[in-house]
Amino acid sequence: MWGRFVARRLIQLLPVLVGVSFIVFLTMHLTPGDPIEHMLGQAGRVTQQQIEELRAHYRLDRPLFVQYALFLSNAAVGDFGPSYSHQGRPVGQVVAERFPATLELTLFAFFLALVFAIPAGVFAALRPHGPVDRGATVAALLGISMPGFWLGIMLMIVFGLRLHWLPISGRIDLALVPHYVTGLHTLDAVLAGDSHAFWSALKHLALPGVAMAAPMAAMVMRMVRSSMIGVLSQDYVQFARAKGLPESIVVGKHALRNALIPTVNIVALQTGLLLSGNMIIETVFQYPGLGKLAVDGIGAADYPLVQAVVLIYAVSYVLLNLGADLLHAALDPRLRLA
Amino acid sequence: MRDDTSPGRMSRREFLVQSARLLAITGVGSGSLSALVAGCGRSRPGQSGLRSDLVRGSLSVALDADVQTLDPAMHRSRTVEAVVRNICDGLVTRDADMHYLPQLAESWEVQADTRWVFKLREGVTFQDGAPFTADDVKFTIDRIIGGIPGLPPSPRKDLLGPVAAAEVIDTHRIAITTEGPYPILHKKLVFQEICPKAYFEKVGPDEFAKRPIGAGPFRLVAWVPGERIVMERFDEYYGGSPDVPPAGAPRLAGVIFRPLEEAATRLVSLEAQEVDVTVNVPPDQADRVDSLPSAHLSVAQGTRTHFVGLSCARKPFSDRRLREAARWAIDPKPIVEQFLLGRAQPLPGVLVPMAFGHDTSLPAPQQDIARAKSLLRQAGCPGGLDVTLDCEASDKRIAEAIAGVMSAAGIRADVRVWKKDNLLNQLRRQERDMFLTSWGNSSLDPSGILPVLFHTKEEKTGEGYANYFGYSNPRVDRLLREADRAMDSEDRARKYVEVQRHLHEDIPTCFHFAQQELYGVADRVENFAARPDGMLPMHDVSLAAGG
Repeated sequence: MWGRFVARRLIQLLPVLVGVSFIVFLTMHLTPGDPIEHMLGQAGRVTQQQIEELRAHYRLDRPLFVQYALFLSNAAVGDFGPSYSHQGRPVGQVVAERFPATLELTLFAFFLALVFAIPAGVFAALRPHGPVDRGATVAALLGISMPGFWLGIMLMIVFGLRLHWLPISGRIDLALVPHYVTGLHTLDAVLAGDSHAFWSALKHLALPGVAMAAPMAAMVMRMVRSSMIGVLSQDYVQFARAKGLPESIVVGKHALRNALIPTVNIVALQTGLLLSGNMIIETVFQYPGLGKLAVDGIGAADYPLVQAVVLIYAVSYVLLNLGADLLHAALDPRLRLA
Repeated sequence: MRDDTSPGRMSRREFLVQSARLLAITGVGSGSLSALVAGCGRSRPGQSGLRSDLVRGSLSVALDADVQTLDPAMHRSRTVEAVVRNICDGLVTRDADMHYLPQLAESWEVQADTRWVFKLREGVTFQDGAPFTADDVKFTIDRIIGGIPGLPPSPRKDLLGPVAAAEVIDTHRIAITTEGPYPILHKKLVFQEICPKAYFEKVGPDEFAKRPIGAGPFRLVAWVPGERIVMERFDEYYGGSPDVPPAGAPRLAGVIFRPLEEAATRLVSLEAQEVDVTVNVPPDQADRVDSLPSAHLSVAQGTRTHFVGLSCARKPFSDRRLREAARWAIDPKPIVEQFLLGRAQPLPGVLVPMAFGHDTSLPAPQQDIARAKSLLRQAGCPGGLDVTLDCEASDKRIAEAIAGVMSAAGIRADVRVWKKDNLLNQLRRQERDMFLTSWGNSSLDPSGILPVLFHTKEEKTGEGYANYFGYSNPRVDRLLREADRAMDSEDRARKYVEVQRHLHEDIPTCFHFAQQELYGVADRVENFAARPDGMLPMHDVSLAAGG
């Protein structure tokens, strides 16, 4: 049953990807910008013929729908074409260089958000309208309403510039030659048993990680709080207490597990937003990941590059939702996969 | 990559302490935890897995653009050139005052106008230990002019103009021949760095673009795309041109270049002492950088000229009187002082004063409303003139200021903003009447700007490639062609001066200005100065002791 469910969902992924790629393709071509002009810049004496040759080389002289069809057929076999703004290097290669950085930052922000949001939500729910709840509510409000770029700059100024606690940009100490296994600096450092590199990488993740995690933590905290309040008033919780179970077991085992079920969907959605939100955070912190790559790509009208990055976002969004559904079913035995 | 020390392991206690710090940093901790945080300073080099020697004596530079290649022959980016120039030396170089001096070449002589013989420096080695010979020079030139089959064409080809061939005379002499006289070959060789033939052939073009070597003062250690380019001192460096003292080994242990495209991030990094030098300080931040306790501003006159272009082929500015009216209508003073904060210099023409052949006799630009109005009346526009002033997004404020000052004379300009590449596309097709744009000319030779902008546009040869004005003056065309081939430099200068006078008379452009190049430099950096050409040579730079 599980296998069929997963297979069906994965097949549903295909039309989503085609749809997304079509929309991205169209918007990119409607957006002002000319990759060839961008490439040439002020390249001295260029003849019209050279411009036409370049256009032909990158197939930009074909009708739009032909370009799209070519893109689709190549993308189907994993070839996203040459990146206009990276010396015509294959997009796959360029993206692969930057992907680990984004993955690391996203995972870090993800865990950071959960580590704070779940306990905060639980404690807030235990005493609704108490001081903890009020504090958490204010923090959540700030987390949701502060724009990422503003929060990022504030964090930079306070922790980087004024207090000198944390580095402002980059991924690891300039002095460190990263161990390269997975491309995730923290994980690679752990694998190599290098504690200095590990802390350095972690410190570089801290500011962008917090800026990215803030809105997600806020949303998840609010969700945990409200579902926890709902669950705590249920009969089975009363029964568990009447049975004489210690409060920690009642809250931690009986209540929390049930309260987490609706939270899973929010977490999946928010993680998708984490990924797409990294364009802003990575630009502010000059963090060399996919988001910054895409922003630079949009500026250079680098159609294939932007396509590839957006498709990665789309795939991860769909997979995250699939993961959430599976987790949902695992957490709640009443649910059947259909 | 060297790994000097053995990797350390983290104790449980250390783990707890660090976790507590992290908790505190992320906002949960307060009171007692913040005491712990106070101990969490900036990262300490000197422990495991790092090149502490390298980083302690290294200078880090924040660049305003990323680099896509490190192959000296395969780019048109000033940033790439500024980085690569520290790895690879060229035959010719320039000092900070933009004087041309031999570097890997020892001397040169011109034979029969079209044949240049370069005597190469002896005893120079590349960073892989191979000796530098005439074969490497031939290989470098051939690759750029497209003389090596199987390699992609070089985007730097036109920088070598009419170079036809390179011929090895002996190990340390090479002859470069040109199609017709080419008086500025030595000036153009400044833009080409010598690549080692044997190494290139061994590793191939793709690998060379990632790990180039040269005969320059620094050796590439690591390039992490989008993140940093790390170089270390090349100990066997021949010392550089004796004409640019001090000659000798580089003083820095290394240089680290970091692409930080956001100006705000660059400035915060300079202020937090994470970088020692930052390029391209925005004019409105210049005073703040200069007042920092640990850094100062370094200024050089720039080589890029901004100007208002007027279409000579389209109405209304096809009428010369209206072009002149526009020139009298613009007052450069308030624009330069208020909008560029005095960090620019108004010019009478497109050539900057330090350029070869700059005409010093042209009058300084100034506003004369009465003359502008009278010219408008003569041209049949007594009620004034409505025009559109096109510009790219980054020039919007200046364009609006221009529109503002012109309105007093009755020229009402509507500012229209474009994305840069879209505007250039339209300009090249000569579709715009009045526009604010710019042209960089770091060669400081008129041949890098006058024929490109003002020669009659010829699709076949690429002459007048950026003639956005539809400007065509046969006399100017002839002078430009003659100057291009005039081997006598006084004669050449005279011809360019005459061209500038024609341009002043014909007015395809008005309101010219060149912005300063502004660099933020940490006080511990010694012997670094901003340069007009934007290069970042690190050979002579050092760090103050204890810095």
